[in-house]
Amino acid sequence: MADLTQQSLAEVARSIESREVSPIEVTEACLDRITLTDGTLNSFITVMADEAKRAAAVAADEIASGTYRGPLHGVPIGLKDLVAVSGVRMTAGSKIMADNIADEDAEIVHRFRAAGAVIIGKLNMHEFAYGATGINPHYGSARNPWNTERITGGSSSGSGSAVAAGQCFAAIGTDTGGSIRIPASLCGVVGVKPTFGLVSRRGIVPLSWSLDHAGPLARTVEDAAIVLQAIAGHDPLDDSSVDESVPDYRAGLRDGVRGLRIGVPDSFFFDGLDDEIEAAVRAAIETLKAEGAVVSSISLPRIDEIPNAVTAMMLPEPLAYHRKWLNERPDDYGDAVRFRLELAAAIPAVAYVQAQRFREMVVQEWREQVFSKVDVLACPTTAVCAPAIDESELSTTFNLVRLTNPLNFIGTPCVSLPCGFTEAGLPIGLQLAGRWFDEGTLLRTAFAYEQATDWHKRRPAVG
Amino acid sequence: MSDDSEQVKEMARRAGITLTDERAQGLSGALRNLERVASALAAIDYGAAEPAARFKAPRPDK
Repeated sequence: MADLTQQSLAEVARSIESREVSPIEVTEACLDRITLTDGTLNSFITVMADEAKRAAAVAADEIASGTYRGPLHGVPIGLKDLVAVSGVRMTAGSKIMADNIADEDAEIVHRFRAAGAVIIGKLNMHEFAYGATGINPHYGSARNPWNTERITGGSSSGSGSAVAAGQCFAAIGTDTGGSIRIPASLCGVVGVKPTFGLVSRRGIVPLSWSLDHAGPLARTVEDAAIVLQAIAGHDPLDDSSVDESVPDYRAGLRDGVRGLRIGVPDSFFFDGLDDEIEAAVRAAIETLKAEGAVVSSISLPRIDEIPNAVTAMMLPEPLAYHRKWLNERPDDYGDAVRFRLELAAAIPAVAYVQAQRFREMVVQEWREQVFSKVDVLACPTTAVCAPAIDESELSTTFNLVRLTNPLNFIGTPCVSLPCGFTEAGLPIGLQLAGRWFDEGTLLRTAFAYEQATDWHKRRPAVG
Repeated sequence: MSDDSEQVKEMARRAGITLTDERAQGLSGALRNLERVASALAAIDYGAAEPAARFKAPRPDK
């Protein structure tokens, strides 16, 4: 039988449903893959082997007795180590929380359990999700499966490497300034940052309440849609959660992009790119045009002003959360995170409030002036490909986040998916953004591009 | 200590953070960048826009 771990989630789900393979075999295959590759990749902080085997056995029994819960039933999923699983260590990639044991499941873990998924472990990440490289002074850095001397990107670093390397079929990441899309782009997988409020954050360690999102990383668009389907939807106990109906994301995937209006930003998103990235993204847009999309240039209101507002929100909110620890245990933070937290005190309160006012104003302008004219925006995910692990974190971070964090501010759903490789063999990401709560159109667009190309079929040679 | 370092230290104190002179010195280089951020935000005409107590993404048109 072909290596199970290299199949897509949708493929292995079909095999499980038809009882060609059991959840136990699939889980053992992933655990073997982790054993084989994680000494190199360092994707995991905690491998939940025993729990995963027990969950797989339960899933196998249920399926054998005729109870099939759907496409996640018996499928191994990884969680960024800031998502709480009751009774399991949750470090948030930090020394501060190194001994923390979660006392209840996060809401999305409840939903995964209801779907019958097998939680296989807790994934490496940037310390407290506060950085875009994934360089971690406490647990070591996850390494990029396409070149292990390169970073994965972060902050959901282990989520990117684990999915790319076949250690699990999908993973959960969080995205405050790009932390799902950046590792997806750098590791050559699909990452979805949903609309702000679509996926519950209850039970997830916060970074910046105004900008945090949780979402899936997977090897294909369909796989990401399957995971998003399981975790999307209103959580009345999460104040950021929105009571909006959740459509069947897979139902419309194959409807194509004929007549769909795709906007290409006329500034900002194409400034200062690596040449290979610009060429790959423009070629991807041409592919969508060839598939029937109507492509036009679009101006994005106040795009150059948004980064200031992001800074004014994203510095003080983490400080508010960390202030007590920062005073009591400052030396237990890594240098880069401590620097950002301490610097935050220099943001005046009025700037924070103005940034929140600015957000309301700009979102309305984007609604009226952007998403009335186009259905989807297309641009690069990052301005650079995976940098070397030994490059300075602070100098690298700007080029990783500058094309993603404006869209956290706007709160629109976004997808990053592979659209090529550099001559050096590093993945390039195409970023698509859509209307709020219109993940369906976004995933349909991403799927149309994916099916017209074969980038998603490439696998790194690690292991 | 430079004026900038003193300023950083004082702002941290007001935020409830204790900084050593050495830490304040290390952070002072970034102070001007943050002042530019605050100035840029101060220069915007917000009209009647209010801050949301909790940001909500726009709901779809029905």
